[in-house]
Amino acid sequence: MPRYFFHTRDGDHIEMDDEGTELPNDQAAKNAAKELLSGLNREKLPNGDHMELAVVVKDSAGAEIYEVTLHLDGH
Amino acid sequence: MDKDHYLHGLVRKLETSSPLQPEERDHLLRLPLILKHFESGHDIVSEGERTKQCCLVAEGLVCRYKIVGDGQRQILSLHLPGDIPDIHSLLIEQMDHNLGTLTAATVGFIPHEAVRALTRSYYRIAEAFWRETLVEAAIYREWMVGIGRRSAPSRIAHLFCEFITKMTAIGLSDGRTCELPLTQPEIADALGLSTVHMNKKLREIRQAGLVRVRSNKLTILDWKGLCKLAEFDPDYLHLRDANSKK
Repeated sequence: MPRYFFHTRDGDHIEMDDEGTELPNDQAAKNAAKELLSGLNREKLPNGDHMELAVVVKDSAGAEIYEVTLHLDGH
Repeated sequence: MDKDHYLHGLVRKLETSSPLQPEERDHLLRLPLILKHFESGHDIVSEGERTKQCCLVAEGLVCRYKIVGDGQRQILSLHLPGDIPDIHSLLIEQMDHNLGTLTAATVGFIPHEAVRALTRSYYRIAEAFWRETLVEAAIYREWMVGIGRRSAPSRIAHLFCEFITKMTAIGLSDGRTCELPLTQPEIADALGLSTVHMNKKLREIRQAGLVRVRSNKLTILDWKGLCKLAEFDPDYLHLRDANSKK
């Protein structure tokens, strides 16, 4: 199975995934990115009224195949 | 390994929470046992089944699980050698979940009649089985708190603390390192996390120097730190040794 790398971005803070996870295909990796984002969101309450969380998926060649972002804006 | 060895495993497990008299031990060691081998990932008993026997985990790792509508699996509990994860089938006939193997496993089937006869003659053995199910319920409460309220790193840390504590209690770990024959998707299914989320948080725990997880082996590097992250207090496991040390 191909290996995908899930890097996360929380505001300006970027966390690189240097180990990756094996998944059947790109579609499974996209779904996993969305699941990860919703899981991270559950754990994290924004300090203020704004939050931007993103997951960037890269394949083993380093090519970006997907990016998904969650914005929270309180008014 | 023979039948006696596995029944000793049952006695050892019961004695982690219930003191037994020599006579009670002897009767437990004489229980009839039909051994059967299962490959990894097989059901031993399925949801909806009615059984006339219960199964003793002789070797390997077994879990209770349920599958939800979209096909996702929730692992409900992990069972080590010496456990009888379906002891309740003595009193509630129909299985309301699946019991399956997580590794290749040997299971010893004990006819309900034999367990019933023993528990009717020896009330302390009945109490020991009852206590087992109560401790199980306490473990379920901890898992419920974890899945409902704990952060992902805390849940992972808690699973490690509980697993090695249980392994140590039955003599399969020195308290510092033990076999952990679980894949990352399986750990994720036990904790209600996605596999990628679980991988990411496990990496953080490793990088913080709390544990090493390599080739099915768990090594604790910082027990205090791990317990703190997990909010782990082993009291809910009701282990006699731990209690007598206090």
